Amino acid sequence: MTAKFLPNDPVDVLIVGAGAAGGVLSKELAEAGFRVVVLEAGPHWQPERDFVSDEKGAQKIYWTDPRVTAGEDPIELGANVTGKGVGGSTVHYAMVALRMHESDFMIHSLDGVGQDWPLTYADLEPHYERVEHELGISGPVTWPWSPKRRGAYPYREHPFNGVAELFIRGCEGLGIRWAPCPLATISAPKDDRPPCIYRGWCVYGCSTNAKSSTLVTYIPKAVRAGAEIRANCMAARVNLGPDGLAHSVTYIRTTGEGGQVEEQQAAQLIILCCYAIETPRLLLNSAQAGFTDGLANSSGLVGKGLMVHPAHIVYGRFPELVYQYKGPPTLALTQDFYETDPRNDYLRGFTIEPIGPLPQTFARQAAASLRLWGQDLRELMFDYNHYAGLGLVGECLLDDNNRVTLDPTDKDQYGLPVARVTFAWGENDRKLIAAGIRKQREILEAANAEVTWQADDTAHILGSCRMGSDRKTSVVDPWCRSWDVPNLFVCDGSVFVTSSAANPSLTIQAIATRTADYIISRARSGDFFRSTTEPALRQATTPVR
Amino acid sequence: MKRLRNAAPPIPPGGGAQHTPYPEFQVTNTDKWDLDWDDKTRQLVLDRLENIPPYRFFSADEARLLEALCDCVLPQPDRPEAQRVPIAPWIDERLHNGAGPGYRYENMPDDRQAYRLGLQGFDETARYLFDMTFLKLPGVGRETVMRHVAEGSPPGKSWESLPAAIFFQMFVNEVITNYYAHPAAWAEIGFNGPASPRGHIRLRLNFRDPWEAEECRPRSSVEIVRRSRGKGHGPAKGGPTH
Repeated sequence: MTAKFLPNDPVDVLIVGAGAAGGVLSKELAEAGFRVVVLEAGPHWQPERDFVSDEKGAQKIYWTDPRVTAGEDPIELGANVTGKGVGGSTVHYAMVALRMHESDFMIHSLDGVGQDWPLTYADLEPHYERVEHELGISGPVTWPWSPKRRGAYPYREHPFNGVAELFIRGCEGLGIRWAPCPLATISAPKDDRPPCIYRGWCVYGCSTNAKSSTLVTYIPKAVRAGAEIRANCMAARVNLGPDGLAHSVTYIRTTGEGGQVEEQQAAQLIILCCYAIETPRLLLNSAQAGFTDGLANSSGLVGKGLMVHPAHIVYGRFPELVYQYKGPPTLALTQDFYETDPRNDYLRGFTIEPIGPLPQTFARQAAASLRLWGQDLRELMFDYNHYAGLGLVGECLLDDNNRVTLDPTDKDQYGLPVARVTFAWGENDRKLIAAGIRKQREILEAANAEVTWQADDTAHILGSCRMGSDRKTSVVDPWCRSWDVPNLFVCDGSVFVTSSAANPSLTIQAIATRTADYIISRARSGDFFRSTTEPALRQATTPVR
Repeated sequence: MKRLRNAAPPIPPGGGAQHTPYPEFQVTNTDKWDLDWDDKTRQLVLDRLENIPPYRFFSADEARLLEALCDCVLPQPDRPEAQRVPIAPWIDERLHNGAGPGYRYENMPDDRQAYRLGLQGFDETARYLFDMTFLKLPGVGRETVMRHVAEGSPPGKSWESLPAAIFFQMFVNEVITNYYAHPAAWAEIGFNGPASPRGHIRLRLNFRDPWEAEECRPRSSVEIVRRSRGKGHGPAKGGPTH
């Protein structure tokens, strides 16, 4: 792709990261008439050309630049958490498109833990609706849990596969409510995209184009509206001008020949959308005069409060042939255990979702969790088609000891200090995980599993630059604007205040839609965040467009 | 791309595995090669089958030890030598290219150093326990060494600077990745393969599309799970699931 904009010519908006949030912001802002450039560290994929149906061959879609994982319960990084390339993690996510519950935004008020968000479910509701229509979410006709929906899902639900059938059988046996899972893959044609054909390779990049990653939804619309997606450009630091405003981003472009060129793009407004490890890393790597502990870090909270979902899996062996590799992995779910229940020994709750790992992932989990190798491992894999697994998405409570810092020694291929991720489960997390695993096992046993086993896992990275209504206890305001630098925004999973017990992508995209609206409405009223005198409108009310 | 259409690699039914429940399943027969394999996936897998990389990272001695260790993790005694799925050359290639999984544990060295130390460590443990190199050990002895390393506190100097259990799991994961990247391994477990562009129509429990693997002689894993040492606990670094 040829450059549309010159590096020295300040564009209106520079977005770093073309993933879930960056994709949404680029489309909304470009369509509103702004001159937009998006920097993306990875390539600009063409699904038909680049996405192979091969577990090993698909490793290129993940963020595999070096990082260090540390702490009492170190998180599996790499393929488990982050994407690289246009579309970001939406290229490999499992497409589970859930809204958070009303209670998620006020858990401190309700349960005395974590913090309340500076916004409510009602603030996000219209934005959830817009994203669901833009992506063409396929979902159930009725939704049994909170929050009550104002309208139907735009596309009908997908048919169940064997794993979902067993899950439903188990739930029915125990009187647990279940529903078809809302998914970001289309069940009928939309625009120029065909519907899902149930190949089952969703988390390795969809070559059918049915999966509603931002790569094939928001990003093409952004490009049509004039945005430039500048791929293979790794942001190194955000530079401030003498006026204290964010002036530009210095980045390293990898050329076609594999060389590295350092360039700089100036902009009126800069938005970081690099997800909950790379966003704080970029801010910390941008330490400069006035911000010696990291840019926009007067609160000291950049990188702190990282949350991950406990995503523990229980597998059951069934007499039936399951063929767990077919269809989107998560075709149903239950949120009957989502809310705080005073009878539990823990607060908050979890979602349970069927899953369908392909052979390598399944074998690695079996080997690690059953400590199998040798003939036993090969034999167990002969039985791959008789297994069905259920995954947990549990709430993880805020703990500022869980954090992203810069590693003191390791550098990446660009010579930049890498992220060091430190993590440990809290007491509530551990109790919640134990309860989740018990429930997963009960459901599988009620479906007549002959034997079950468990694999510990995590998913999704959240927090680390959280939003709030007080600049002392948060990094960004309720509109995702940094408290310290008026024309610098952070908009991705790192602004989450609580983790919720729902897969986060739809909420990330709803927040991005809301932030885009805010930027557009402020700009139309003549203010483009250039004033260093505080404060204009920083409380959480819906802007008038 | 015409050439690719006609170039289906000869993978034996059931992957040539003696005990497979799917002895008749052909993952690359003409029908499947035409309808379940898109061009780019065909090219990738053909390249994997035809171009086994030479050893460039490990020395010849290290490579022989690595091959023996891979064979302990996923043994293939039921296949003639020439039909065995190669694993060690791919580990060598990854380390030669310096590609990583995207993270390292804080107490682990980088992958290259970890493998060098780990190979030394297996030999040190073998010498300590049996006064022999790992390669000279019979199968039972090799298994004992493996178990010591897997359980995390094997004798041997190298293991003082390399956490054995973490290295063992990382190594087993890499063997699995490379073994189950081979169409013969897909055939033996009844995995349909790329399914691109045909996809699937019959998704329901006990239903299969006519081109999917038909199970002829089930081999339940219930007993393996019941007597396994892990009891289904502990960290499983598998990759993305949900």
